[in-house]
Amino acid sequence: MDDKKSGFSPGSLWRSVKARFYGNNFLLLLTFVLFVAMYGVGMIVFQDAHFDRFQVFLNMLMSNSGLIVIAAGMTMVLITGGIDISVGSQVALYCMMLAYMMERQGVNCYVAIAVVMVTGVVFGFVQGWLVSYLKIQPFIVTLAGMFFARGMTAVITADTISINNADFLGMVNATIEFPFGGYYNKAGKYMAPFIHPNVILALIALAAVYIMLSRTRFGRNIYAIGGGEQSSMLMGLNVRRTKLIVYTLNGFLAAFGGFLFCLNTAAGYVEQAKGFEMQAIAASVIGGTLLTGGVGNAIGSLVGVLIQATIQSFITAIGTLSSWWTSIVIAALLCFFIVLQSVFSYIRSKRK
Amino acid sequence: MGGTLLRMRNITKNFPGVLALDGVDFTLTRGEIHALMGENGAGKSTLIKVLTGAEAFESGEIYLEDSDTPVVNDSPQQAQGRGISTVYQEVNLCPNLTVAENLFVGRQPGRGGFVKWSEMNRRARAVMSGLGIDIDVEKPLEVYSVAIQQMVAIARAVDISAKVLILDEPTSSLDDNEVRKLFELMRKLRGQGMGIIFVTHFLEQVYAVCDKITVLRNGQFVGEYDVASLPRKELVSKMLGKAFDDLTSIRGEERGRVDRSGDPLISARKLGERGGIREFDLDVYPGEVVGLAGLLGSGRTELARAIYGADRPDSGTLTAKGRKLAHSPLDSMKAGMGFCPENRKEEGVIADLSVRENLILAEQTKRGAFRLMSRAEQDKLADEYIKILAIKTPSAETPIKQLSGGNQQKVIVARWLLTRPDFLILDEPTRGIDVGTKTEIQKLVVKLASEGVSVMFISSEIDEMLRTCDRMGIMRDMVKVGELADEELSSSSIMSKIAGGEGSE
Amino acid sequence: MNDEDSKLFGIPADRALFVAGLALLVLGVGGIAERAVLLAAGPVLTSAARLAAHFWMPLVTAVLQLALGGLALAFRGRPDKIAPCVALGFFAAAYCLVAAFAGVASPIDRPMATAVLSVITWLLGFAATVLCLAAAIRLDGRLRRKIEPRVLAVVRHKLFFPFVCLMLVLLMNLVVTPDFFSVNITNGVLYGRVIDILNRSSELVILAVGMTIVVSCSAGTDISVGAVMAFSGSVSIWALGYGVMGVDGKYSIFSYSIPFFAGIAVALLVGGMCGLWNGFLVSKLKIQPMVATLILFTGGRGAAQLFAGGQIDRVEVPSYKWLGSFLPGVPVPTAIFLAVAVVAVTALALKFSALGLNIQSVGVNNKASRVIGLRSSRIVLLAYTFCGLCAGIAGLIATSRISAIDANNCGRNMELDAILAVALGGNSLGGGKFSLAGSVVGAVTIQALSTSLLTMRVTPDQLPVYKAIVVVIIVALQSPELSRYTRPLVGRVRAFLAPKARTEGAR
Repeated sequence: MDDKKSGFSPGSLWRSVKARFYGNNFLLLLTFVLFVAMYGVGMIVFQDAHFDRFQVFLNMLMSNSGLIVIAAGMTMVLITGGIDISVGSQVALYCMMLAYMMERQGVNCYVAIAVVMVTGVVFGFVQGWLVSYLKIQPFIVTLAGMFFARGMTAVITADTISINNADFLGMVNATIEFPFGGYYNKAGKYMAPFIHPNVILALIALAAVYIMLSRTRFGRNIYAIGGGEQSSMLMGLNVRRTKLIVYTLNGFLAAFGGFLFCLNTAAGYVEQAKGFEMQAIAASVIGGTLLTGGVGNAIGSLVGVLIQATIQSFITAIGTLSSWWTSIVIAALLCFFIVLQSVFSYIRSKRK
Repeated sequence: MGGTLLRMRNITKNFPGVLALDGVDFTLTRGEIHALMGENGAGKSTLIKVLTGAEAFESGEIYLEDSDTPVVNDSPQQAQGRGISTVYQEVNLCPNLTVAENLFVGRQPGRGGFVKWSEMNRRARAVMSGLGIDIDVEKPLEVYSVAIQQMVAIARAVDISAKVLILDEPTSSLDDNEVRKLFELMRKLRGQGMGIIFVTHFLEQVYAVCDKITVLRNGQFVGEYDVASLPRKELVSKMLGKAFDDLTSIRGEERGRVDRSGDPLISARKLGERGGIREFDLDVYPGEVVGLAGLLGSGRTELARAIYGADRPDSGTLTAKGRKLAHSPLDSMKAGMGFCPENRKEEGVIADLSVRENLILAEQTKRGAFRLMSRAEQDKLADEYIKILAIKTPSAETPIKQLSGGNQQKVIVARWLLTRPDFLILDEPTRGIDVGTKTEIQKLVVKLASEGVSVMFISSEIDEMLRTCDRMGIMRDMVKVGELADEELSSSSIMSKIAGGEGSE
Repeated sequence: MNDEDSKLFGIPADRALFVAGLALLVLGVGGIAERAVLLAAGPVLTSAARLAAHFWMPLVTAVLQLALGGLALAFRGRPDKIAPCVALGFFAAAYCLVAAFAGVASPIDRPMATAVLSVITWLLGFAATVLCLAAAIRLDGRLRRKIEPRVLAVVRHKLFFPFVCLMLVLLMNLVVTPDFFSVNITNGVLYGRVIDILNRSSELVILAVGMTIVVSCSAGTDISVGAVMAFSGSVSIWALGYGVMGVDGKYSIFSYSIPFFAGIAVALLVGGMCGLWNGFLVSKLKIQPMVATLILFTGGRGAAQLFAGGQIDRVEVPSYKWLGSFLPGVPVPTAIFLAVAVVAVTALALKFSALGLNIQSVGVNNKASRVIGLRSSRIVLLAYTFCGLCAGIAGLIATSRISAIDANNCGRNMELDAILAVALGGNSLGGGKFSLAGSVVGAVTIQALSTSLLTMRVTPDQLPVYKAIVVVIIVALQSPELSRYTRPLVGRVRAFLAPKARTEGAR
């Protein structure tokens, strides 16, 4: 019997979905509805900017494939009650490493990617060790990590390096077409909607994280630690080791997300991915992850990413607003959800 | 049902400077609910920690079931493996996980690292219904009341190891209905052959559900008794260590010296806290020493805190010198109150600050942040009170955390004396202190009263209160059940009132 | 003599003396040998000053070390004869220090490896001399009673750690730029590297003051300070150019629309309100400080861009420069005055009111503070408001320096610098007792560190790497868990140096 689903009948499936959506996951439902509503409104309002094309949605996925992976990793870390604000700078570092290795040192594309993945794991391991074994606040450790990574990017070089490696560009430009949902452009030619493979990779990574969190013992231990570290220890869980693995895994995901991000930009420069970590945190929080830990959902983070992307597209579509409006709106959204979470927890504690 | 489950013999445990357990015995048989009782510092929690492996012990043996080989548990996990589980007062589960998950944390059913949700939920339902608790196991734990959460904790303990179950003060946050349900569960488990160690201080509950009682006092084993053949009054006297007959109090000749004809200094009417102390009335007259007697957990601290405003009461009014107070510490301080909390480590001592700073802080706060006391004044006051209370400290600038417990307590008391209060509340000021200092503090209380200061003196040693108090409020199970004054005060009358139950009110 | 009294760091003092004496002998012989080699290699050192610094002084140091080592080994069994050892030890240590300074202050062209090796040798020699001195003092009861309490008082002083860090950084600067301490007056205004460091550290000093208060009472950090700097500067300039700025594509103003002082007030108001917002989230809504300040960290710069119209707005009025550079006729940079003023006002407020005590009390034990009547949530609220105000002031200085608001770069990375300054100042990031002076010293040290790194051709973008490493080291040292790893190590060193089986020395 396949042990990955709790029964195949629609009734039991709905029951398990409903149970999973109870309480804090109500926020997730809210978020999903919010996204659908926003996108729907956008499709109507920005019709002349062709917002109703399927391609627009696919573009959103493509340009945010890195963010999807990073947000998944961030969710995992947030569930343990920690945080990792170094991921943005890590992405910049990994892009720069890829660009530098491929362009200035003539390293093979696949070797460069492998080196970057290993670096990510090591980075995550060091941060994880400081957090779980020396018990330093995760915020301070990852703040230092953020400045370290950003600085190392500048140490590698201050130039902007474009990637011209053939293998890499092959990955950048690969497309997969959909047989439906296309449109006819001004010249009357049929434009089939397409996506780059990086979206598939991102969604696979997200799915892996989701499955790990919801269906493996390790994943459930992460939730347990987030819900009560002391209790988890008393129940026999190895809290230190679990946290170390979580941060190491997050380092891996940061490297993977950085690679996907690089597939979009095909360049390395110091100011890349500025504020990326905030977008990841916002995506997680909007997706229903509690900053106090113990609650979170990788799927929710995907919805959070999509909401942010939608806002970004709106702002671009309006045209008159500058891009820094995005950071204000995201900050406002973040604020709204943080305050909402705080209010919810206040109500819950009063109810006891 | 017979058969020994557990025998602990001659257990001795030392902490630095304190003999926590002195040759203690404990026996538990199959199918029995056994109460473990004793006041604070009696050694109850230490005995449990030794049994479950949270602490090591120096000498003695623990035997499991009929075996003659002694065992030592190195960790709670190992104890669990041997069939001994503990459920603590603060439910040590994860509120964000579902009930089923909580039952199986660390041992979820499934293959290859994956969790088989369907089987976990099924087994969880089986476990819970087997104990007669009918709840939806797929809901997160936090939606359930504390009582249900506790039952889940018990269910987990039972499912993991079904021999000895230790319940450490499980009823403190439960209401009467929930307590009844808990007792049903306990009786069911007893019927299944489990041995339950029930650590509690609630007399009524012990008599309602337990078969045997073991009493500890000051780390020593006082005795093991059958509930059926031990009257309440005897139990209380065994716990408090007093013989049945009267003890002459030091203040015999001064009884009735307090003038209660005028207006009371402090007047509390219907002060109460939901889920805490029941509504009570209390008057305190100038120059009076009021004691609060009762067992641990009877609500003495809660009453004191409600009066001072440290915990905001949900109902009632408090008047001081005719003025209605706002139930906040600052307001109470300005009205002339002072409060020495029971837990001096958490709520009294400000560890990194110096002795001088700890001493003057309350007075400084009273005067306001912008009327700083000059350094000269601070030094003078600090030296004065260090001398008055004979506080042993290398200097007034030593960080208070370097002082011994007794001296730290003296600093806290001095802090409030410095504010020249009209009404000083001392909650267990003599706990954990050497005998000499205990006497000093009692003498201080009497002296204050003779100077016209009212004092509320809470102590677990009835002796101390008898020596100093003019009136006593008696507490039982969060209710103020009565008062005794002047001539009525005696060891026997107090203990009778505490015990309540069969005929002694 | 008490058994404990004759131990130094847990090792029997005479054994320590033995080890130190041996080390000194080795170093002394090695030092003399090195000078001999140098001499034989031929005339590399030309000027008399260099000859003194790199030949004669190290030679004398080596001889002193040799002598001290010999004395130590000869007298270790005779505590009554230790006194000459102590006297020589003091002299040797002092001389060693001076020689080292002289040596590094006049650099000669040597390969990096040799230079590093000589620094290490000097450090080892200094350490051995100090150890020998300490052991000797310990063995002589009379001297011990007189000297040790004084030394301990200095070492345990809360400013010791930041002061030592500052000295190390200044030393590093001195190595790289020998004319580091020179100051001259050009065009009626003070110039010099030291002045530069003090000038540029002003914003950081002001931020560090605010951050110290916040960390002390809430055990949290305010990471929005950089963004608030940009935001308050931006709103201030917008107000100063109200109605003119941004109109017809003009992003410079040549006259103020509102009085200059009103513009200053606007910046302070904005900073204070941002702080109030943070404080409200932390104290009333009980949100974790990092998370609460994350919001302004994310959105503050965007809001700054909003008021700046997305451009770098310039203020071409001459009086705007005053805050960032010099007031007319005053040789000292204004920023230094402002920093001193903020520190002074804060220090006075803390000294003449109970606020400092209250803040520390809330930080050390929130519950106990409430029992004695302190309103801890109000104190936390005020702390964050104050920090925001400091960020506003710093923002004013930063914009005045360049007479413009660059919302992207104003106050960039300053939040890490501020946290680092507080930690470097000896303050625990977990809250509690604080030292304002320590944070100020820490801030100046960081600026000096940045300056020396920049002089060593590290680019501003690369600076954060070094700062990150320093932060991690300091916070790791503060971690209580660290002792769990170092204790077995220390135990092993002790066992090696003082095996229990042997009985050494006079007893």
